[in-house]
Amino acid sequence: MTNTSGGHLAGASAVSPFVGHGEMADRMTAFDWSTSLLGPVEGWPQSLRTAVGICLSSRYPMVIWWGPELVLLYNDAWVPILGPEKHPALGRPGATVWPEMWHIIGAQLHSVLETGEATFSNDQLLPAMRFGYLEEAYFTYSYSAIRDESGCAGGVFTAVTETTDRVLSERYLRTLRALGDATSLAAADSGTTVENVCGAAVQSLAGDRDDIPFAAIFRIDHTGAPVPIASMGLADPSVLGTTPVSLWEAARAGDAMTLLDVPPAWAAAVQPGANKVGDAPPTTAAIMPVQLGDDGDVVAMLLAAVTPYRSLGEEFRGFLDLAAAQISRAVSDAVAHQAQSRRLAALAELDKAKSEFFANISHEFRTPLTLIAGPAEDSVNDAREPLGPTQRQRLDVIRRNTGRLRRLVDDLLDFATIEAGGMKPHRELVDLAAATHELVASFEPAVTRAGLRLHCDISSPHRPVLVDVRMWEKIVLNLLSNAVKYTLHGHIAVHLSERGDRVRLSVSDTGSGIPESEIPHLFERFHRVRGTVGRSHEGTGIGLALVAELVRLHDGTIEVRSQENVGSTFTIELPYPAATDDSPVLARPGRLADVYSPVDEALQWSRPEADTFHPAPDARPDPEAACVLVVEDNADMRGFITNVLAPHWKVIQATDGRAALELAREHRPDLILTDIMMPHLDGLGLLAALRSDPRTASTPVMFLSARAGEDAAVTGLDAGADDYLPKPFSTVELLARVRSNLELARHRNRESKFRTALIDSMQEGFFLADEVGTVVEANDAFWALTGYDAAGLPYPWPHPWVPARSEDSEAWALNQQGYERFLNGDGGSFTVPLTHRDGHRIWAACSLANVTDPHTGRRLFVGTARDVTADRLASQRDATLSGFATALAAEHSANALIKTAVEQLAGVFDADAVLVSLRGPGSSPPVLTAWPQSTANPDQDLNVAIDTARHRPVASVTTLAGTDGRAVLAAPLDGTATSAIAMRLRRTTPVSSEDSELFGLLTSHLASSLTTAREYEQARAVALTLQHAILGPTALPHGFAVRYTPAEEPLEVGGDWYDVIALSDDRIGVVVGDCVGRGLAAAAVMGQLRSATRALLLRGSEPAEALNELDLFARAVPDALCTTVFCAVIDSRASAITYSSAGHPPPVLADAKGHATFLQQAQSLPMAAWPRRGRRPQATLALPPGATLLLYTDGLIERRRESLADGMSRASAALVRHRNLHPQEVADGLMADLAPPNGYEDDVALLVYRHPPPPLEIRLPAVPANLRVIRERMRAWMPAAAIDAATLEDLLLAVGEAAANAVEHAGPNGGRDVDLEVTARIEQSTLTTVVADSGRWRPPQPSPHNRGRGIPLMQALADRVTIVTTDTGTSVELCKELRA
Amino acid sequence: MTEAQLDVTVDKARRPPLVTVVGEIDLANVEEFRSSLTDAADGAPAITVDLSRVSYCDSAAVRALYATAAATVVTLIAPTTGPMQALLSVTGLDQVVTVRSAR
Repeated sequence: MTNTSGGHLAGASAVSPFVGHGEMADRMTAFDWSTSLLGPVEGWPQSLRTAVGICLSSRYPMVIWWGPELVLLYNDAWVPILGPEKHPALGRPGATVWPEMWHIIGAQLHSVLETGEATFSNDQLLPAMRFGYLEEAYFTYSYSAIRDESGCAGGVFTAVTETTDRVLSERYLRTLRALGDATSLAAADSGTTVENVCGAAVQSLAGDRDDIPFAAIFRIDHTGAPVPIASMGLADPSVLGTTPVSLWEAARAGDAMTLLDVPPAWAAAVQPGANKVGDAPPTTAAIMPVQLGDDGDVVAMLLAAVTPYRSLGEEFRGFLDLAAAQISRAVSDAVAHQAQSRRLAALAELDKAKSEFFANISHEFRTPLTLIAGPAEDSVNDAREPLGPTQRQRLDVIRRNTGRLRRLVDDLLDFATIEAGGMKPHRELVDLAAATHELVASFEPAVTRAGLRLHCDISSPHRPVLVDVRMWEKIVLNLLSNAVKYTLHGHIAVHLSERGDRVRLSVSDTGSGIPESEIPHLFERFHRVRGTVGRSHEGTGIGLALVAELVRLHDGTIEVRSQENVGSTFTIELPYPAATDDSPVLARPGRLADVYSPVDEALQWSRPEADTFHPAPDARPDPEAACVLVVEDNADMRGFITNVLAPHWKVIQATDGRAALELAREHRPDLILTDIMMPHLDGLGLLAALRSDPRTASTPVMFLSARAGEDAAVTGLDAGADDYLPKPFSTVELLARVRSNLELARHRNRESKFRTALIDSMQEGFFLADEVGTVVEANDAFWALTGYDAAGLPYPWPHPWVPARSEDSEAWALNQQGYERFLNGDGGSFTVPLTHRDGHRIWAACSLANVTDPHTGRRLFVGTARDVTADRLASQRDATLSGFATALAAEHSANALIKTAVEQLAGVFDADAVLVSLRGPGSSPPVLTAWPQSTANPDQDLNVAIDTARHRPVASVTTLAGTDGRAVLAAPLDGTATSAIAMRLRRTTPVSSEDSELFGLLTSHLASSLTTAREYEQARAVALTLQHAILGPTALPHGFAVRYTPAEEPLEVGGDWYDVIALSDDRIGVVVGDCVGRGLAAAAVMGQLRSATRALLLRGSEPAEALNELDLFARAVPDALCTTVFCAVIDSRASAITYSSAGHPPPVLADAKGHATFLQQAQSLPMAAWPRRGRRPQATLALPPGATLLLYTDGLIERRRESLADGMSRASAALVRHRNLHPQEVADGLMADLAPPNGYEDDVALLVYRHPPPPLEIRLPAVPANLRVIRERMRAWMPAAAIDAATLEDLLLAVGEAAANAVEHAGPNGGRDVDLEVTARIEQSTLTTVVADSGRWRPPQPSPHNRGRGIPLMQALADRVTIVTTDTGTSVELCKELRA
Repeated sequence: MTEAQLDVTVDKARRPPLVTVVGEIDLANVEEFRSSLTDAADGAPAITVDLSRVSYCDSAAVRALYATAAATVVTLIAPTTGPMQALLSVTGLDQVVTVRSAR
């Protein structure tokens, strides 16, 4: 508080400079300064006192260094910077407090003292001894001079921030980034080793010896011994050779971080210059494992010494952990990199070995093949001992297939030779046209048999061409064979022509064509085009690759153009050099008879099924035997299998998958035996089709394939095949497998039953759902969980146990999320809320896995569901309690609190009814609060529970059985047997201990909130009582209306007040005031000033005099300074107001005609700001009849961004607008019109006074019609006279009766001769109305239902009735005492 | 103005007949009120008089009601507060007729 009225401050020394109530302010106050360097406080210069004041009142760390000794003075915020070891250091010279950094800051401080110029230091390193060790600490601070009274720098003022954490964090980050870069680079290097990476890591760490004075990485050798492989920061790394035992132990334990005391030998070897603070040796080192992957083997240990200038805190540990993790990652990468390189090298080696192996093995195959083919050929051709037809058939199969095998072996051998670079074309000059023509002609039968046409256009070349004729043969036949294989309709065309110096051969077909994506791979060896339709699926995938290689050997080119379902054209161009000499021309290349021709093979593709074997009639099995469907595109193989199986089972045959599918649907075989690679529909396609058809879904399928090896078997079995038999197989093996599969199928039903029993025995709920989420199977535990049963299967989505969206959209959404994950095939685990069949909520933890139905190949989901309702409730309980507490926190009154609490409880527990009973003191009946609210009689269950519970100790929960077996929970709400709460649950299931515990928890919370609320309500009641006691009088004299609106809820008291004091019959004191501030403190000041003013006015003081004396009083009241007061005395007899204003906004006076005047002729300064011997001014203003006076406080007119004058004129205009209304209505109108859009922000007090208007005087002939005129005139006059509506109506009737009497008795002239006179006037709160006539007056008559009722009525309606009858007439005087 | 101050309607179709009065009743127009009452009470064992929208009435109206109450059973619908209440109780009319609160 500052005295603004002027005058010099009485003396600075009177006030303590140690402001506030912080620790340092207290310490400074208690400190004995007289013995300090600064001397007693009284002697301190003002500059120091001011600085100390600023310092202590700041929340920012601040310190003052005063005088030549730089004596320390500091605030609370600076205490942590000083540290616990030095605090308190009040009054001590700086040099003795901070010796360790004085060489830096001492110089800076002295420079400021000498030059007076401020300094600024950013992130300055200041080694500080704060926690028992010299610390590397950083600060940002500014030293500025404090000028003393002589104008010199008397001290230094410092604002400081500690930046150690930030500076060090940035350094850690830099180090980690550099480490990451260095190790990643080293790990990516080809030929990298773990040692290289570790070396790079340690080298990188050497960049931050501030934090890590030295570091090393030890490789763990096979004995588990740590062997140093890289180090930094040590002058002699060999000291690491002697490793302490703890390092071994750490390596063995593999803990994330182990701390180690640095051995003296290592400490001695540390290179100097690690940290700017000094060269103290590190005492602690951290050991961390370097691991492969997250939980992999520990391959090395990182040893990092910890700088002695930091404590090993959380951040430093984090930094070291990250460094070790980075090294681990890089080492893992390096190890992976090494493994990858080794794999690549091994693969290359393997490839080479494979090529060699092919070459060798192919060669070795030829001999036995020749020895098989030769005798078979001989037997077939033996004319002397001719074979029988069956034997001939068998040997034909052998001959044909050895031929085919031979060709494959030859191709492989050729290929291997080419790859090994061993094949050179043996070129001769050949008549290529003739040779080609012959090759094409030889293929014609195969083409014709396939139902195709062959166009041949071989017109050139005319000159011989230099080619290897055997190779040319292979090229042409391979291309033709390919064309026939993939052309099902149309034709094949062969063109041979010369194009300048090239010979061009093109083979076109109208076949299936080649997908565009396959063309680039067409000439790769072993590549087989997928998805195309051909006559056979046989082939090795080397035909075209071989053609391409052969063309390349002739320096030629091969290209292909193809369009799917239209056809393909292969074009070969060979060089055609001009003839140089007369080399002999091989006109007609001979063909080797022993080579099984591709022509034969091509003929086989089109062999009708009728050609295949038919078992002898006597080998047919009995009709009851099982039926086996054999599907195989190779006719020989098909025949062979059929022959083997036919004696035992019924066999039907199909040449591809498509045909097989039809047969399977028609005949329902017991087993299907199928090749995998077939035209039209392959084995896998057939399997899928069979499984998706319910008629064949469970038919066992056995695959036969030439693709041996585990991979192929797994593919087949994965696809859902029942068995897999690789070629070649023996007759015995085939029979055994077919037999066992047929047996297995028979047992399958039994197995299915066993599986069901197994699933049902599971403890967890188990269910099986199809790909759209329909639950098709579930076990007993699942039914127990949900309350549903297997009878309702299948349960399509949304399942009946999924809460409906309309009932619980949140629960529904959770289930929907789970369902979407399910549809995406994500599987995994999630927890969802479900509704048990009986309606109660359960929570289930579900886990889903994707499986494929082995029979149908369809995607299915198996899921488990575990009841986690209890766990869920426990975790929800915390959330519930916090929600409950939040809801209650918003309520202040006990009633609202209980209402909210019962609603919350009902929601949390899904309650049926809740009742709270609160008993007041004494024997008054309890106050009941029920949920749901009902007027019906209180619930008997709950009443009983409340009576039981209220006698029990606090926080104990009583559980009772209510009607219908539903549980009732109850708990006391305090320990005095007066109050309790009871709740009945909606469900009939027993109360769980969780529910009971939660109820206890929530009701205890309610009990404590209730206690708080009651205390609060008591405080509020006190405040209200106080307000009513001090605000102003409740009974006002006539003509007054007041309004008071407090700004600060809920305490309805503030700094504004009004007062109306009846001083004598004619004189009324009127006061409006406004104290600074709000709330109870301001109210206390207001109360004192109000009482003082009232006393002064009652003593007879004039307004100005009263204010002068109030000044004296206000000076003694703390916080009364600047209170504004308007004080006035209204003299109703003199119709004048005398006033004086102490800084208060001027009141407004509006006369009956609407002219407004501000009462501002006696303005002076606010309370206690007026000079002690000054006289306050005083003015007097006449009050015109019917004028309205408005007194107010500034809250009424203040608005943001608006001048006070604007507010005053708005108030004045509003007053003029409402001037003819009753004062109460004027007050309401003003409060409404002047309210800012968001309501009043400050206290508002207003006082309206209506000066009585001129008396009402009516003189009219005494005729009935004028009765109404009299009423109308009175209705207009009364509100302006501040007479309220009820009083007005009473008076209208009283006057009406008197006037009617006069009219009735006015005589035979009907009253025209008689005049009726009505007057009304207000004097000193008394309204006097006189009704007089100039005729005779009849006294009351006792008739029960006739005349004379008027007088009792007048007496009932008016306070006094006086009837005076004279010769000239009768006068009735009606008096009414008025109150505001 | 004077003529328009009273509006009396008689609904004889109602059982009992209903007399509804709107406006002010004083000496100047009490005749109209009286004749309406007589009209309504003619032959009726009881009538209802609704004064709830009467803004002023004095003992002249009370006299008319007394006369009617002598002939038939009168039920009065009137405010039970303010000057009307004083009028009914001071004149003793509320002892003679049944008064039902207008609200």
